[in-house]
Amino acid sequence: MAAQDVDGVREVQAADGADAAEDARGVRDACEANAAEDTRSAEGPHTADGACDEEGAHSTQGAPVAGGMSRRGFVLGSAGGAAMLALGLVKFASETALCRPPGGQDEDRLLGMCVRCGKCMEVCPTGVIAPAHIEDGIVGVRTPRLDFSRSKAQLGSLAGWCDHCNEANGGTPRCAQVCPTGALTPSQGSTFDNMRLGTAVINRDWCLAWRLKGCTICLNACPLGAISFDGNNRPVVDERLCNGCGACEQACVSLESTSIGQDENNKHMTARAITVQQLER
Amino acid sequence: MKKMKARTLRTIVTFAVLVLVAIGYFTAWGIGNLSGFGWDAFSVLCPLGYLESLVAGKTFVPRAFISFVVILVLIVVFGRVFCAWICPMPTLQRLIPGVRRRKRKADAQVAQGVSTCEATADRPAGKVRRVRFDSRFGVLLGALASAAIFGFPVFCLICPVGLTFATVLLIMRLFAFGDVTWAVVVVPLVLLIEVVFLRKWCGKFCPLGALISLVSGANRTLRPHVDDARCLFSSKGIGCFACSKACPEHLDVRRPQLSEEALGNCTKCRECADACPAKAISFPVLPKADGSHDAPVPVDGGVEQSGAKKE
Repeated sequence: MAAQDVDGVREVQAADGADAAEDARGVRDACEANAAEDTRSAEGPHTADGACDEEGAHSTQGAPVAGGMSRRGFVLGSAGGAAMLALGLVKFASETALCRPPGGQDEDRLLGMCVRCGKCMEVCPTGVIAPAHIEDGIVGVRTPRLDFSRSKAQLGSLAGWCDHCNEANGGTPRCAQVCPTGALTPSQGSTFDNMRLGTAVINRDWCLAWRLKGCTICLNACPLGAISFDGNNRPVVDERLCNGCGACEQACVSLESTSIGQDENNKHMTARAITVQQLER
Repeated sequence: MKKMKARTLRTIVTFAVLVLVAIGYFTAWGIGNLSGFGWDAFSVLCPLGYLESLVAGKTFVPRAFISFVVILVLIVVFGRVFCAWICPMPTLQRLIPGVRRRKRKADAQVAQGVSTCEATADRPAGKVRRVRFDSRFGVLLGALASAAIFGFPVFCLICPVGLTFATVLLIMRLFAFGDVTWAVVVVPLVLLIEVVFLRKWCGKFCPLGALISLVSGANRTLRPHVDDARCLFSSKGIGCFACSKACPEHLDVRRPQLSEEALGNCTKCRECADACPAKAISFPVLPKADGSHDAPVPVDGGVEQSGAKKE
């Protein structure tokens, strides 16, 4: 180990063959005593400094490892560096596939380059970008995800789903525009129609229409006509047309319409009946 | 009225930045936080964040590189001002008491003694090493290596600056949007552990500080200047050295040639100016023409060697 080598070098060079650490300590104490004298003495520091210089030279002769680093510094630095490498292992903790803002579909690129500055969340004109939860994976914590489940009360006048900034910014996503690291970089010619943020998935146990309550809200909300009714007026999603914009999830009222949050089988509902999910990873 | 202490002023400035970021979050100005601070599409990226992002994503992004160059220029112009005035870590450590170590005072003295000794050790008088590689650089290397190997900015996960802003924003989201996540607990907890248990974070571990130190050696402005006519040591020969003792960076303000990294490592915190009994220290925007700091200080070796052999 490097630290031991350093120790060895020191011991060889220590004139009196004393224990290296003790030696270093002694030198420090001596210097400290000098410094104390230094402050008390009215003669000025140069004499004391001279003496200290000699001792300092002695103490640092064997100690520097690289660039004049002390042995203690080297050990601390190595430990800190090793801790950084160990922390990298959280990469292998499990992760939930999340829907990302436009240009964040390359997960490796997003996780690699996002420095979590939060500018995308601030500028999003529809208020759909939220920081990823730690439950979704440690590596991606606070990276931008799309949250289509915000309530109308919280959103106020905001849309709460992603329209590729068609309305607010002429079709250029604001999030990617302000991203300082390039973690969000939409491909050339990316538009609302050809973006793929995720795919809408219907939970048939929770969906009001599938429980034959005659709901048409998601069908009306979809801007691409990707949702259609089957013979019994139950919605189905055409995955080829769906771009994952989240308008359907944002509009879905199934969760709110069941006051105690339970479906007909008395199962607890944890989300809306139609949710946009990242299926491709 | 008594003049406000620099320490109080620093606390106020740090909190002002925090409040500004918090307001920006809800007003959609797009100012971001200190990881990427700026207006709209223009940001000044955290330089460490940029390097991590670069080696992890292995993609060259011109806009990010420009921002990196801008920050390097800012460091040369302002030195390590960020460390004392903007970074929340020193303020948090001042406000939150740490674990008291038994030999704290002794350690501090030893550290000071060592700094004086090592500085004078292996270099001729007047020649100052601009950068002294300490343990912080080990963390910096580890952080960059880890980012390259594992493909994500590893240090950002535990950066106290990032965690401070994350804490504020997560708590705001919790109350404003009902955004419930364990991160609201975990993020402040990690930050608290760092604040309480790593009391020497800035001097021993901070890789961001290490990166800034690499460049700040070239800084010439706002350096502490000692007025020789007032300084008790220069004018009356009294070995006061209150300035050196007050310096959190262990710089010898009176004789910068003797301190570890000369004045490039000065964070302009003004502790020395506050400590000086003669009010002899100022921070001129441009270096004073008399160049008292650049004059070599004679180091009379060999005198009173017997005095040093205390063992």
